[in-house]
Amino acid sequence: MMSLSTIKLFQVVKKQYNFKLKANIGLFNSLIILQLFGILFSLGGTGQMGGSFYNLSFYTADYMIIFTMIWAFAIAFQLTTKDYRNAEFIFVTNRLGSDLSNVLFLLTASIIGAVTALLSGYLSKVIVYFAFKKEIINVAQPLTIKPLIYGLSATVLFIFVFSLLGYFFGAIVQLNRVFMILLPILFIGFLLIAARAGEDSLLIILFEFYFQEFSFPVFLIKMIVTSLLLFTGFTLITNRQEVK
Amino acid sequence: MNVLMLLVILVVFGILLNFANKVTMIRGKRTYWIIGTYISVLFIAVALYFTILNKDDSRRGDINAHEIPNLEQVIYENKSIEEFEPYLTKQQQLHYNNDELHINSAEVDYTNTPILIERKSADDFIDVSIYQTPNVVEGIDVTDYEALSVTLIDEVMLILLDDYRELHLDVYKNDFPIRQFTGEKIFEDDHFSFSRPTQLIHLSIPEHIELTMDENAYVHYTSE
Repeated sequence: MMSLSTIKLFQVVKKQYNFKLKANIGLFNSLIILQLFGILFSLGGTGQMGGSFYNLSFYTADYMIIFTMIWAFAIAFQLTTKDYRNAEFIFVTNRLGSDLSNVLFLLTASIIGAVTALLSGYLSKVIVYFAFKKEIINVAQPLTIKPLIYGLSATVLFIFVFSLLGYFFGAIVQLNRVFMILLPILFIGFLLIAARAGEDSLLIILFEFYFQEFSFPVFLIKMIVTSLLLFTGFTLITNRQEVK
Repeated sequence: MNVLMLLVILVVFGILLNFANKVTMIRGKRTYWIIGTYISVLFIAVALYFTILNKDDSRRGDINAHEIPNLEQVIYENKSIEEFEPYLTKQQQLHYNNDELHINSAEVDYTNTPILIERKSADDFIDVSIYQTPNVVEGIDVTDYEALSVTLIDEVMLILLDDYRELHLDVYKNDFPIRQFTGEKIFEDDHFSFSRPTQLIHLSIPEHIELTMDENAYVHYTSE
C-alpha cells in the first residue's frame, strides 16, 4: 500500500509538472531558434571527406541534435536558478518533489527536442535539394522500426542525460557561486588536458563509452545508470538547500 | 579539432544561446502558434522528403567496389584486354598515312592512365579503344566525367582528358544516434567505400609507323 506521504508527493509532483510545462513553454522558442541555426549551419554539409579528385559533403541532423543537447543543458541549468525556483514556491513541499517535477519536465523537453531535431534533418535535406538543386546520393540504411526506435530512444537519452548534467552543474553553482567561475575553468582545463593526452584522454574514453557503444541494451543500461548517478548527485546537493 | 577551435565554437554558441534565451520571453498563445507552425513545417518537410527526394533522387547501390578491376591488370598481370570489354566506353578509327607519330597529351595523369600499344599489319588506320572503370561510392556508380578523347593533329596524336572536373557529391546519411546501432560508419572517413576510376587507352597502330611520345607516358606494348 502506498503511504499518504507518497501519494502527497506524487500529487505535488504532478501539479508542479503541469505548472512547469505551462510556465516554461517559452523555453521551446529557444529550442526552435537553435534548431534553425543548426539547419542553417548544416546547409553546407555536416561533414566533409575529400581526396585529390573528389569531395563528399554529408547531410545529417547531427548539428541539430548536438544543438538540442546543449539547449537541454542550458535550460536545465536555468531551472536551478533562484528566479525559476522562486516561481514554484506555491507548490513545493520538499526539494525532492521539486527535483522530480523538474526531471519530468526535462524528460518531456528531451522527447520534444529529440523528435524535432530528427525531423529537422529532413527539413535541411529538403532545403538543400530545392534551394541548391544538388544531386544527392543516399547511403543511409533504410530505416525499419527497430533502428528507428533505437535511434529515437538514443537521441532522447543523449539529450536527457545532457539536461541532467546541466541540472547537476546548476545545483553545484547554487551551492556556492564560486563554482560559476570554477566550473568553466575546470572544463577548459579538462579540454586542454584532453588535447594533450590525445587518444588516452578521459574525454575520448567517455566519448567512446557513450557514443561508440553499438549494443542498444548495454547503451540503455549505461544511460540509465548515468541518469541515476546524476539524479542522486543533484538531489544530495539540492537537499542541502533551503525549502520555500 | 583543436581546443582553441572548440572554445571559439563554445563562445559563438553562448552568443546564440543568449539570443535564443531572449525569445523565451514570448509566452502565451503566440508560443503555441510558433511551436505549432514549426512542427507543421517539419512534417511537411518529412512528407516532401519521402515523396520526392527518397523516390527520385536518392540512390542506394549494391556495386561491390572491390569487384571492379584495375585496368592496369592488363599490364601487370598480362590479362587479356577482352576481359575488360564491359568497361569499353569509346572506340574510334583514325585515318593516318604518315610514317611517324608523336603521342602527346594534355591534363592526363599518366601514372593512372596506361597506353597499351598493339602493332598491326600495315593499313591507313589507327584503332583507338578507351576503357574506363566506374567511380563507385558506397556501392553507387557516380561516374561524372567522360572518358579520354584522342585526336590527330598533323603528326601528333593528342590525348585529352575530356571534361575533367573534381567530383563533388552530396551524401545523405542517417543521424549519429541512429548510425550507432545500424552498423553504419560513425565518422566520415571511417573505411568509406570508394573506388577511383581507372582508364586505359588501347591503340592498334600499323607497324610501319615510327613512334615517339612524352617521356612520362605510361606505355606498354602488347608484343613485349
